Amino acid sequence: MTAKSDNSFTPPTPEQVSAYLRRCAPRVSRIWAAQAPLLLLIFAAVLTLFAKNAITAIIPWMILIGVISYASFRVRRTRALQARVQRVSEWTQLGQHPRAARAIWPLLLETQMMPEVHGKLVAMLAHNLDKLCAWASAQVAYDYLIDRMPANHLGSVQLQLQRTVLQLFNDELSTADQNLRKLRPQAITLKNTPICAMFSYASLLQQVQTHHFADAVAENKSNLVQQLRILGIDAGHGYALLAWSYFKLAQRQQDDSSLMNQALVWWRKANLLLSSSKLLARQPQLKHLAAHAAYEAPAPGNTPASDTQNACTNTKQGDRTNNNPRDIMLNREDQV
Amino acid sequence: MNTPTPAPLRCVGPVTADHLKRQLQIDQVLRLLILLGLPLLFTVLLAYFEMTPDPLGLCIMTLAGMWIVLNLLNARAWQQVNNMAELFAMEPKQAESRIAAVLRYRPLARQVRLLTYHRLATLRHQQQDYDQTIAICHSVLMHPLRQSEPMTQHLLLMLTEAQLANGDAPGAYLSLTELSSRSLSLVHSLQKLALRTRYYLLVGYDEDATSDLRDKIHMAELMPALQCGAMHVLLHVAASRSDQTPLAHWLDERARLLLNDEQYEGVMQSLSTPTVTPVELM
Repeated sequence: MTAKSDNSFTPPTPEQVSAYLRRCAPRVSRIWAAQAPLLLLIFAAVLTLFAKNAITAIIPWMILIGVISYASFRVRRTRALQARVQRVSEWTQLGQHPRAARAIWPLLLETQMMPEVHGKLVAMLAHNLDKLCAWASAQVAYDYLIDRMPANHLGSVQLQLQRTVLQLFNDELSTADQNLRKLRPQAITLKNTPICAMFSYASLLQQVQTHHFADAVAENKSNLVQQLRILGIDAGHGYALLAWSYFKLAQRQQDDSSLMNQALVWWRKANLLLSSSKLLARQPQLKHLAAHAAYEAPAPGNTPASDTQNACTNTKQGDRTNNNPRDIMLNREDQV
Repeated sequence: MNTPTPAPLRCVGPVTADHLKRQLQIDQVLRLLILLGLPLLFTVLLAYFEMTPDPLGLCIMTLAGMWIVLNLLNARAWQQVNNMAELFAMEPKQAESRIAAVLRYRPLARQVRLLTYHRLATLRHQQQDYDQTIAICHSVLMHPLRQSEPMTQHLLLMLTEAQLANGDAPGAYLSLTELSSRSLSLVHSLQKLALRTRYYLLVGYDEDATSDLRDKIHMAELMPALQCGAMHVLLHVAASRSDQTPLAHWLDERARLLLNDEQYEGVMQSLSTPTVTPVELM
């Protein structure tokens, strides 16, 4: 992983992630090491019973001071580490992915003796790499976590689904298909949970990646909003996929204008939740649909979205009368 | 043959500031007795029977030993109430029983007792017993929590939400002011934003609610889906009331994508949804 600033950030390769995670594997402290301070204090207390001269009188005090110093040092170090992990977690939430990924790297080494925190950091690393579109590297981090969790644990199922999505992005279609088949029974029983929503999204993505657009439309047109709602604004990625499916079908059946209308309706829903730039960053192939939607859209002053933009910026920029589709699209990307 | 009936779950009665103060005083007295009285007695006895050449050293060593034993017992008590988020969601009665059991320990360290009361406040807040939430939060906040700033912030957030639910706008204002003077974590900042917006709606400051909308929407998008949707509904109501129709329409469209009809109506009816959750703290 090399970086000087966010712009020059280079995500680590899968081999680097794998080697580093092996090197930083969590370790468990030995029982005697955890009990050592208490044993030392007992030893010091016993020593005071047999103190005969100055040296044997001083040794218990030295032990006492040493144990207290060591304990306070450990407490301070743990608190400092927890504060750093908290900061990284906030950067991840705020979408500062290069910064977060960079900060996680050294922390993995420092938290080897704290398995829970270590696991959390690996999960954050995977998430950040995923968002940075370093899908192969993120997959290695997900594999690392999944291998160390019980297969049926809900957290593991969630991670397996996230890994499957990455496999679909990486065109590992057969592996992703196997994973989806394996996860289906568990996912469909967990209705109205993020796991079920993620499974629906992964299935839709699979249909799109394998060019089964008619299946994608047939299976999702009536209940996609309900299925993906729990994902919050990230549901926009799913709506964009359905819009893309309608768009591809409309290109095949050019006499049916309702398909293109539906494509625009779903694209608008996706755009309500996520800007075009965010949608295209994850799925660049959607740029044709984005451009088409920008051509088809009415003048920006008449759309609710641009009204909102005007309202949000208190119309400080004046009326937008530019009908250039590219500009319209960029304006839409500026939406809140 | 009769099946054995399960032991009744212990419950914690109403909490007042005096009650908590008395508990802390009893803990302190017992702790002093154990930490000073026992080592002194032990050392005097050993010195009387001439069993140690260094009575003072032995006294201090015994004191250190007693201190460690007390801390170990407190750590064990704390473990019982530390990670309770799941228990709160699945078995609230069991959670209350566990809190009651820990509160019966004596002597509890001041910090452990206050943090256990924090758990109780969280439980009462989840049970929507807002009067008790306010009473417990006030009682605990009267005693500063050392090294536990996140807990203090969480108590203030719960207090604000309970006051808003009870329609106590002046109280909520004071709590929000107190929160504003603190450096909050991201999660707490998001919760404060939602509570502040609810406060603006309660007192009719609709234009303040929709000011800096770009930042507010960006922050709302970092919230969990339900809270994000509820925040959009609040902003929609504020925009509607202040005649910002296009903005209100856009916010409404987003809210309807984020919430189902039932959730949407629920938020519209009460203009509130649980904002302060225990999950991120435990």
